[in-house]
Amino acid sequence: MENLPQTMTVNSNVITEKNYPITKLWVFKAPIIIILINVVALFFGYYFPYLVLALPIMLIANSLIRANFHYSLDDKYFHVKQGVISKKQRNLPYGVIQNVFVKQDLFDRIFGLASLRIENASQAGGDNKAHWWNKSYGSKSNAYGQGESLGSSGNKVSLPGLKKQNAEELKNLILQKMKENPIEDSQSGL
Amino acid sequence: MKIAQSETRDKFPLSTKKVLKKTVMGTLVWAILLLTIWGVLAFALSSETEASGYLGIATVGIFGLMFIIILVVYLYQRWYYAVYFYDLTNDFIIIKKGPITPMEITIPYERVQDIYVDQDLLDRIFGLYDVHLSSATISSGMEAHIDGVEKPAADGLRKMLLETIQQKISKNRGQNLNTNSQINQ
Repeated sequence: MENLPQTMTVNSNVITEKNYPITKLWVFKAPIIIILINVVALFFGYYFPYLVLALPIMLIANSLIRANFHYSLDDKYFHVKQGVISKKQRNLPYGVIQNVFVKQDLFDRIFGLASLRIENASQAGGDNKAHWWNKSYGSKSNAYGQGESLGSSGNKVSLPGLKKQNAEELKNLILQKMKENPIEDSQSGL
Repeated sequence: MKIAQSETRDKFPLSTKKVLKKTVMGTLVWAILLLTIWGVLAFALSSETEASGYLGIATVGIFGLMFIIILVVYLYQRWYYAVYFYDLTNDFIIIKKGPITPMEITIPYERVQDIYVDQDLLDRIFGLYDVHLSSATISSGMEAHIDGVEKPAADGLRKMLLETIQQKISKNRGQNLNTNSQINQ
């Protein structure tokens, strides 16, 4: 039996995270912000020793998450594979993409990064099951939701920590694919 | 300051009154707060004749602070106004805003769920309109709006959006009909 994803990676038309990688800087983004907050807090006489303990854990976790994250764009679908322990694979047809975001926060602006976000109308990306440890208070789909997570959650797929130029190119590519694969059955209420 | 150019923005320009409105909105709370403090101070110190010197210093300080706040907010809003970008291309609606932390949203016409025009109190006073459009996601409803256009531009934008969406949908429906008839034959 042929393994479908492997045959797809052989195809040179397929764009993956090798073409537009998530920069290594993304791994250090949260730690750098934490260190900065700590330094500022020190000036006011506060210090949080536990956060310093969390830093190495965060570094390891982030690099594992980054290493286990794969996306690919073929002709018909946008594939996302992610997960260190519990794996998740998601396949989005281009036609159902509702909107595409490119945004930069202050850190991204300073280091020339940008994050790309794709949303569809589903709520089925996992992560929406309300457990006691991740009760979502509606902030998951908040546009200002902070802590841009990597990969798919809820109705969105996030690719943070791309280079600005790469994010723009990838966005144009996705828009091009959306144009090539129009939705036949319009959902618009108008 | 260089103003973000696009075909749509040239045709349906943002009103410069938007800067004023946003400045008023941003500083109103501060102004009320500082004026209240000043009023309380003036009332408390007016009974003591010796303390009139302090009142003068407090007045200068409070009004100076207010001036600085208004100036900073005004300059920021000028900048915000300058980088505000919106364009209705052939296939997508693009809206980009935010001078320091830019945020760009792209929506295909077929996915637009509704379009509405609204005004809040300050909009009524300044004669401005907000054109909102949203797709089926919550964040698009929060992000995708063109704020602070005057009546002709708002009507023009709305009309243009509705026409383009209608066109796109009917085009897609036409394709659908064709494929259906092919299946039937």
